[in-house]
Amino acid sequence: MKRVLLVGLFAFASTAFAAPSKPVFRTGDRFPVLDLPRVSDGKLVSTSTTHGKKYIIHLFASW
Amino acid sequence: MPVWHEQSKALVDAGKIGVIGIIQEQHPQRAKLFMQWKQMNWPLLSDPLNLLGISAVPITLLVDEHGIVRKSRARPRDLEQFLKTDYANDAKSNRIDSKWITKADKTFLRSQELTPIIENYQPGKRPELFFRLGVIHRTRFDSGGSKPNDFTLAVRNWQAALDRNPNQYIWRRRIQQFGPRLAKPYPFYDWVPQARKEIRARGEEPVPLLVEPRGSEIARPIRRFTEESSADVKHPDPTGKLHRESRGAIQIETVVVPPVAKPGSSVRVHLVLKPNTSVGKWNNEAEPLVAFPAELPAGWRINRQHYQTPMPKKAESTETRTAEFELSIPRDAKGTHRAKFTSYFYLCYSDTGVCQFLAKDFGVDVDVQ
Repeated sequence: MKRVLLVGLFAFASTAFAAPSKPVFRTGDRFPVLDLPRVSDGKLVSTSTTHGKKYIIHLFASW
Repeated sequence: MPVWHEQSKALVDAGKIGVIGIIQEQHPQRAKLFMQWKQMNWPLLSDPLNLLGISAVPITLLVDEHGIVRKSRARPRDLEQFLKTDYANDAKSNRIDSKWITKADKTFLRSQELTPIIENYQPGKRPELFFRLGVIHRTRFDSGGSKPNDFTLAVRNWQAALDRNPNQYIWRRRIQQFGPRLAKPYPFYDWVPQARKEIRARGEEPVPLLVEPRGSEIARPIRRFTEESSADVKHPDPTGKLHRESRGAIQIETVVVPPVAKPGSSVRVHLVLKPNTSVGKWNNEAEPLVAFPAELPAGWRINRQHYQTPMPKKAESTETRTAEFELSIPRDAKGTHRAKFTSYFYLCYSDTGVCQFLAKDFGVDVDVQ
């Protein structure tokens, strides 16, 4: 019974709290060229503006 | 992110590398406030529809001058090697097929006219389109031009997306942001007051937020359902004799998160009260609006016995007001159950100018499966 409960808890925890670990971008993939709104003024900016220079790209949320 | 910022700042200042952030949030201004708080000033783009198709954040990528990812899930220690390597333009594949992004998605990103986008949006069987439609509904809900059930439809579309792909944590977080405390991984925006305090202490004015985080968005997670103690509020109408508002002056939207609950779990109930301004306005010269649970299904519990909303300083106002409760569902519950609530408020009718203290009853249906 305890084991069943533990398995259940792990199953719940895995869906409710843990983030998946599989890679979402693979090394060698071209980063998508998309027009996205700039937060400061809402104007659409292409991600291709990063081309021509090496870049750190952070994908994140403030929470 | 702040660690990265510290470790890359000198390289950025020297022009050796660029930095850009792409945020995965419903309300992008909040990330802007976060950046101001942490004194990070690199450009920020917003991907509210998750067009990038990522399933979790944070992710840091090192991308070369050809736009090719050279390190996914990068660490600051990877920078040195990345900078001294000369890369060829030899991409293996494109991450995103352009057909995944619909014309409606593109229109949403450049247009304030949300209604035609919503009316023509067709998710079909594609989970990511359900998520995006939810985002657009929630955006209209927050826009001041909301239509009835926008918040409800946002949550239902997010849930429809997640049901089809339960491994998508960007979608899961969007539901948890508005969901019950038992299902929260963390308090989403409880950092906002501290950020504003520290920004002001530096002599700066915090970035204004278009939508203030509140209720479930700042609530802390809990492990066990809690019936909170709160300041006593005298019930305004214990015998139920108060006149009911019956002229349609107040529209009420009730939103249950998640939209379908499991037995033994809990739900967050959002009560959204919006004046129909052609009929009446809130009167703020006396008591604030308060909502009480009137009747719960047998065996159900509620986290608080009343919810009092803040009151503006203006004598009359037309803002949307919200009250939030959490309901604990018994383990043997199944089917649709109705919890009844009553809200009490002062209202001035537009045609007569008469201001009255009134009540409005409403039910919240919770689907348990």
